[in-house]
Amino acid sequence: MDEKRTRFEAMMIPHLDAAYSLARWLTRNDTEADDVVQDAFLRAYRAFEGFRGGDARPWLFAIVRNCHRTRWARNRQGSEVPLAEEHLSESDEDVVTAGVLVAEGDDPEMALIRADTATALTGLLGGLPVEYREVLVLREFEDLSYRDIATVIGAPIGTVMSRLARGRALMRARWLALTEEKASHGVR
Amino acid sequence: MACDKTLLVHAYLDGELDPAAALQFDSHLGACAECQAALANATEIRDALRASRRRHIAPSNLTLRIAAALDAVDAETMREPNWFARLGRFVATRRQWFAGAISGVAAAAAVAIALVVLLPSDDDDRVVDELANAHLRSLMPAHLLDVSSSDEKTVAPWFKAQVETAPPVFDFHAQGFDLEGGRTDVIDGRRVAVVVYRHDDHVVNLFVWSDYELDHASAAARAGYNLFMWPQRHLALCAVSDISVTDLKTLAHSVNAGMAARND
Repeated sequence: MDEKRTRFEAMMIPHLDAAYSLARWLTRNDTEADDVVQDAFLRAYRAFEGFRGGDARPWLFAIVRNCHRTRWARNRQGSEVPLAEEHLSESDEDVVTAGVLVAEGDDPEMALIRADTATALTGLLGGLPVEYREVLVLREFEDLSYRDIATVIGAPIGTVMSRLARGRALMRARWLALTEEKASHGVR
Repeated sequence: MACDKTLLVHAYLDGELDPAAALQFDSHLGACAECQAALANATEIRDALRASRRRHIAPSNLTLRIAAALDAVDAETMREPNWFARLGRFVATRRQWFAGAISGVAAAAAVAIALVVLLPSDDDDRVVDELANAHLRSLMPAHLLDVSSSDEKTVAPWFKAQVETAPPVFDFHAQGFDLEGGRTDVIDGRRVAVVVYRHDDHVVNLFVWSDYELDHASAAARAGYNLFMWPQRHLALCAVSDISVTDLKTLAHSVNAGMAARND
């Protein structure tokens, strides 16, 4: 029993941050993300005998996603999570940007514009319907292959490709709309 | 003029096309303005998203929360009653009685089974009571040991002469459990081997059956004594003492490891 626990922790704890990040992107809420990840680790532990080895990350992601869907379906009758545009709050202190926001040699003004762009883009991504949001997060932020994404969302690779295409198209359309809106309001 | 290949732009961009398909698509791109535009758009938004990559870091207390939740699962699997296995065990130990009942009156058997389902734990409880009593009895003068030795090579052969299946006999001095010796006892009408350990100043009786069906580990307490029962290979074992269940589990792990190392 302890041997199972040790093996489980050695394989899964290294993916805790990745699991949390996915949960946070799915739930768009810190507390919810905490609960989803805890649920997911419990389920993963109970199902650990069924894990056939290989990359633990897609396996764990699939469980995180299922936990989120289960909870979401359960809470649906109550307060529905708004799917409308929802920008990440600016006081989101535990949000860490792993991408290069401030490139070396940027002057302060340039750095600000880049940071603005990143905030706006991640805000748009947060407002995307979850089926497009999840494939984009898995692809662009977690670098998963189509095959791994297919494992996570339990769909064929063709579906992964079409959702990515649709998700990118949506992102682009909303991004253009946002920049136009800013331009028409005279905001840089 | 919709090109039916525009979806492939994404697989191409993401490096998901095999080399032959990628080459083919290369040449298609040269001729298809629609795909060129689609590729440019997809690349632009892909690059922008990647540059704004945001990954959230788990709060530091989440690891602790998860560890506590896993502890709860571990404890639960130790205690979880498996009614079907218990029923099977109950029937197995009373097979003749059941055979008579079933061949006699089917309805009576049905009632009997219903009772068994309702009252399955009484059987185990009685065994637990008996084990606690046996432990108490062993603490009386001259009742603890039939063979007194800290040498595995002395104790193991002694058991061989007494009981059919040899219990695992190890001296776990390094783990804090000193081998004291052994005896035989009678529990639930069956002869059982008892390996005796001393942990600090506490006597630990380790009861070992080869014919008792046990499907899961469980802990119990009786009259100030802790019991930890667990199955290992073909054996059922139960450690009884006034030390903590955690310490009893340490002994259980040592026994399991010893058996695994000796491959019996």
